[in-house]
Amino acid sequence: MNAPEIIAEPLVIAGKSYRSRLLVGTGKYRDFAETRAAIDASGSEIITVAIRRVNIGQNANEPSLLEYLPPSQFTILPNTAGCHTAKDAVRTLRLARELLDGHSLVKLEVLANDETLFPNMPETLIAARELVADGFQVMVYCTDDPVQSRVLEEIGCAAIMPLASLIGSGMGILNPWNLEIIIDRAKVPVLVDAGIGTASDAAVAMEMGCDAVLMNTAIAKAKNPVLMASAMKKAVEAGREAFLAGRMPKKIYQGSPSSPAEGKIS
Amino acid sequence: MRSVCIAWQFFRGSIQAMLELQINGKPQQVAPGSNVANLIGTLHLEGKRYAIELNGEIVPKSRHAVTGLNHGDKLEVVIAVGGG
Repeated sequence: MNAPEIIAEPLVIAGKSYRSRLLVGTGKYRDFAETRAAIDASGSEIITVAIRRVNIGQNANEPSLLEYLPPSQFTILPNTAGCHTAKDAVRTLRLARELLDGHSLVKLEVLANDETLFPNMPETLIAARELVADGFQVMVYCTDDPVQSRVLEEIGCAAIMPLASLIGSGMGILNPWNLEIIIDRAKVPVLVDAGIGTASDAAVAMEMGCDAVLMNTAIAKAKNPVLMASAMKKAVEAGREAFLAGRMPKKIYQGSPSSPAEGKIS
Repeated sequence: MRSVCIAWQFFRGSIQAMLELQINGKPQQVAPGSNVANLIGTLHLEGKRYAIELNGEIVPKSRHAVTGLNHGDKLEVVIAVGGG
């Protein structure tokens, strides 16, 4: 297998293939033009959006997010950001499905509190069961707990998305060992969602064998979001290729010269 | 006196006929006989992507024009915004 074939190997989520293994959020940008430019630079095909009340009395000509990022060009992944109960999350995603003409691929996240934004797993499990039963394809934000991940997979979620660290923290992968167990055991795609800070974090996640990476703040809050989006694209591709190539074994206590030991002049 | 009385009753009737709704948690008045499609027009949302919930139930797009509004209805009107 040569390198271009490896890159072409698609990411498959809920039966649909994607070339890009980088998923990005659309929040925290300066304006819609910057959002679009960053997403174009990232090469992402799946982009997340939030569902919110329309501002009553808004200017009729005010542009909307989906005019800059039309569903004809991207797979729109509506999320349940801000929901703290299964009931609110399910209600939000049913509205999203109506808004997107029956589109059923969604991102479920039920948060425990506003301080840490840590996942509320009991409510997440309730919502996941209800959504799967209602025909949704659920990509689920969860704790980096192999047992909870297994339960979510058994419920029928389309992808498991453990946090690397807290949403918007940029702290990188804090528990690589748990993540490795989840990746090793899961039969559905595993994505690191939340906590990526810079390109090397994304590369590490991919080198570990994650199927894809989802991020928002790392790009949107970089000094130059468009340049960071380009860096993330390369990091995800580089990490994927390194994973497939298979890294050399680590030798902790002994150096090993790359040049021949024989034929030295002294 | 009788004509004043009739005029007053007519006036009261026309006030009562305006439908008082709650849209996204805020009070809003619409003309009597309005349906969901009429409301979308007054909110300048035609041609945009939105979803409507009426008293906790989603109203599919295909039913906007045939779903009438009643006094005291609670509506949620949502759109997609930037998020992660």
